[in-house]
This record gives sequence, C-alpha cells and structure tokens, in this order.
Amino acid sequence: MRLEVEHLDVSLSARPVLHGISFALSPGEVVGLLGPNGAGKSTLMRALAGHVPAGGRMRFGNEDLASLSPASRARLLAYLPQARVVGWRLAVRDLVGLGRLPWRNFAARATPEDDAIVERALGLMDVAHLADRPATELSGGEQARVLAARAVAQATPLLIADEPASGLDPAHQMMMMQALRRFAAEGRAILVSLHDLTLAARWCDRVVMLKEGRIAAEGTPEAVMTVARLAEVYGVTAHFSRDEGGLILAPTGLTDAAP
Amino acid sequence: MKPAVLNIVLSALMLALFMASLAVGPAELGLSESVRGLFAGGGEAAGIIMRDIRLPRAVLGLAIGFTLGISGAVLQGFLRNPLAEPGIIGVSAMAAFGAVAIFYTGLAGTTLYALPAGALVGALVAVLLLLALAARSGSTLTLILAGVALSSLSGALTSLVLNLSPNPFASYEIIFWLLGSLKDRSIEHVWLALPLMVAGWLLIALSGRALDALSLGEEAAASLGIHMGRARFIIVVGVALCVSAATAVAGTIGFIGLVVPHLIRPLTNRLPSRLLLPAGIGGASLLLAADVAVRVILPAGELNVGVLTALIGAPFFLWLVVRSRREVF
Repeated sequence: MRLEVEHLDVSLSARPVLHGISFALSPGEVVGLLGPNGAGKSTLMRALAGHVPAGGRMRFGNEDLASLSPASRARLLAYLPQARVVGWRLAVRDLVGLGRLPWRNFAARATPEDDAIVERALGLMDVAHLADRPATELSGGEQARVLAARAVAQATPLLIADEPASGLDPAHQMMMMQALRRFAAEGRAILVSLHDLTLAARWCDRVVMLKEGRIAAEGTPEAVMTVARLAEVYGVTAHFSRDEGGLILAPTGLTDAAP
Repeated sequence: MKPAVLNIVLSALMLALFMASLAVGPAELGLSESVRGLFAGGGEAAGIIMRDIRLPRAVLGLAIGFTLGISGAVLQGFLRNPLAEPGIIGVSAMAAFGAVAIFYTGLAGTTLYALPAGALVGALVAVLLLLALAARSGSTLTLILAGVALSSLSGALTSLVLNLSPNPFASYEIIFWLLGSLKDRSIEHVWLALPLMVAGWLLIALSGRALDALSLGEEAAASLGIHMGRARFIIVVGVALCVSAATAVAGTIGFIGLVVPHLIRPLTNRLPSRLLLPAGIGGASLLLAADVAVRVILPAGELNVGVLTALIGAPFFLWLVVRSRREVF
C-alpha cells in the first residue's frame, strides 16, 4: 500500500505551518524527512497521524487517512512521537506490549502471537536484555529504543517516527536506522525525521527536505543533499566526502544567510 | 504478585472486614445471635439492629470504599498524575455544596431523600460544567484546572452558606455532615446510592485500554486507536456517578482515593488497567477497617470516619513519599 499526500495544508492556531505538501511513500521504502528546526517536520508527521487537522488529501492504499476512525487508523499507521513519555514504572516488556492494543478486542488477553511480535520488536531494537527492567529507570537512549520497539510492535504497514535517533550514541543511531531498514524490508513504508545529515544520506532511500513549511527538495540523498541546497535550507557550509556506504556530510560553518 | 492472587487475597481481607463491621456496635450481640438476626425474619431486637443498622452501614462502607479506591486509580491513570484523587474533578465538592444547600433551606428534615437529592443535583451541575469546559476537546490539564476551579467555587459557596446560616445549630449540623460518616444510614440510603455506584464502576471498567495507552502520553495513546474524547467522557461520567452517590449518602471521606492506589500499585505490574479492581477492593477494605476503628476507639462517641481517614491518611501518605522518594508512582 502506498502513502500518497497531495496538497497538504496545515495551520496551527490560525498560523499556516505547511503549504501544499505533496509526496508519496512506497512499501519497503525508508524516507527521511529533513529540514531545520521549525520547518514543519513534526507538524507534517502529526497531521499524517491525525493529531492536527489538515487540508488536502492523505491516502494510504484505498483509505482516506483523515476519515478513518482512530481504531482503524491504528492498524494502518504507527506513530512514534518526538516527546518520550513513560508514565508509570512499567516493565519494558509490558510497555512494548502496549503496541499490540489496536489488534486486541476489548478486554482480550495477549495471544502467543502478540507475545512473539513483542519479543521480536524487543530484539530488533536491541532491548531484549532490558525486558524485565522498569522503563523509567533506563538511560535516555535505552528509553528511545524501548519506545521505538513499542511502535514496531504495532506491526502496521506504515511507520512514522519523529526523530527516533536523536539522543542516541553513534552505534545505537546506526542500529536504529538498521532496525528501521529491516522493518521496511518486511514490506512496510517508513517516514523518519532526522537531524543527522550523514545518517539520512546513508540509510534512507529518499529524502524529503522541508523549508518554512514547503518542500524544498525531494529525491535520492545524492540528488537532494548538495552544497548549494544545504546552504539554502540549513544555512550551513558542509564538507562532503564519500565511501562505499554513501555520502558523509559534516557541517563546517554558517553561511551569511544562516537562519 | 499475580493479578488473580492479589484480587483473591484482597477480597478475603475485604470480606473479613465486612464481617467485622457487622459484628461491631454498641449493642453487644453474640456471633450466633448476629447471624440469626441477619437472616431470620421477625422483629426481635437483634434482627432490627443487624438488618436496619449494621447491614446498611457495612454495605455502604464497602461500596463507598470501593468507589473511592477505583476512582482514585482511574483518575491517577487518566491524568497521569500521582496526586489525583476522586475529589480532583470537583464533583464531590459540588455534591457536598448541593447537600449543604439543602441543609440551609431546611428541607433536610422533610424527607430522607432530600439531602442525597441535593448532592446529586450539585454533582450533575458539576459534570455538565466539566463536560462543557474541558471534556469535549481540551487536554487532561484543562480537566484538572476546571476541576480545581469547580472545587474552589463550591468550597466558597459552602462557606457562604455557613456564613449566612440562620443559627449555630444549623452550621454545626452542616460541618458535621461535611466531615463524612457512615453512622445511622438506612437501607434506603443503600438502595439510593448503590445502583449509581455500580453504574459508575462499570463505566470506569470500560476505560482500561485508554488508561494503559495513556501511559505513553496523549498523542501516542491516540495513535494506538484510543478515542480520547470518548475516554474522557466515560471517565468523567463514571467517576461522577459513583463519587456523587458516595458523597450524597456519606459526606466527603478523604484520602482513601489518594492513598489506596499508591498502596496497591507496587503489588501489580503497574499497568493502570490492572490497578482498577484491586484498588477498588483495597479501598473497600480500608474504609471498612476505618469504620470499625471509629466504633472501637470511641464506642459511644461521635468520631467521624472521614476525620479518621484524613488523620491516618495524611501522615501515612507522607511516609509513603519519603520511603520511595525516587518515585511515588
């Protein structure tokens, strides 16, 4: 099933935030959502997840995302918010198990199949060894992976992850991206917002770059991430190099037009 | 502890305290005499004492305790706030004001139902205000703020009535009622309050999924398929139904709704849905125990159970906070 977004407009408190956003996402694809702070990345993701009203069209397969009930949307689309909230001292396994809620009828218990999906999500995010620990007592990076495992356990054809790699050490940043790639390889479509340009360039099939609520560029990382575009969108100069894994981008300074 | 084991152990405790509540009173009835009084028909003294005095008191202790425990648990889970308690949404304060207004008008003496009816009307006004202000689109924070505003408004109105009350005796009666008591309640009180409380419990039981999903925050819960507006409505109405019925027949009884969820939570896996039933049973046990205690401590006196629960509850809560300083919840 393909996600197709056409002419999406979003206003927050009467202030226009997104203008005419159109893009598509295919199964098996990891698409990076880039752009400076305030460009509208989170708002776009929240609009897709149905948390803010939006004008325009959002279709996933044959479904109109905006007209779905919360319950049916939750079986199509998993959303990992940027804010990492763990309300009670839940064990990691119980927390990840919350991802199975949309698939269970009222008051039904977890099935062995639910348990298997939860264990796999724990393994995918490298948190299986923490399964019995209280989630509130983990480090920030561990919590980020546990919450990502919750979204993975929802096992939806579309995953929208808002900065899942921020605050992680380099090894776990790459592990996060690797996990998302493996999840996509199961035929799922993934939209992930990122601040780390090298991570986006090396792990995403395509990137969509936002600037001030509009799409500034869209395409393969090679095509989108150029010296001129980084200067235009982020207001930075950057050092580019390349190895067999793809582009390596290191921001080196501010341009005169830095925001 | 396994949920089933926990519920069975707590239920056994509740049942024992229910029996104790039936067995305690100024009239010294032997055990066999009490049991016979409870079940045998006829009008002998033991039967009247058991069926008309002690049974309503024990049943109300159980039901009101259950109400306070389960309401505290559902509100702490829903608002993700360890300080939430049944009074936080302002319904019990408005119910209390409704009853106080009945005292003031002098209708309290006309019929047994006047006082509870006033309390229920007050609670209804509170719920309508809450739903209009907060429950349709606002966040949980809006709900807390609206509840706090309602509580202080009804507190002020209650003070106003006390201020204007025609004679010291009326003020005394009002204050005494506000302290909360299960003394001298009749079986009519049970029939009035119990159906409302049971309806409230059932509504609250429907909210388990929403509570669990809310552990991850409101947006994550919504993306797990929870209809937030519906969950908010069910919880506000469920809590309002059972808490207003409890307040209508017993006045305000504090601290049970706050303390019991904290006592029970460490014995569960901390998923808010798994806390509801044991918190209810725990609340019933605690209120029954407190109501037995007031009769044992001052057999002839007028110690109100609401005073005892606050007197023991507050220091106990403090101890709980100090003991587990890292995390109360």
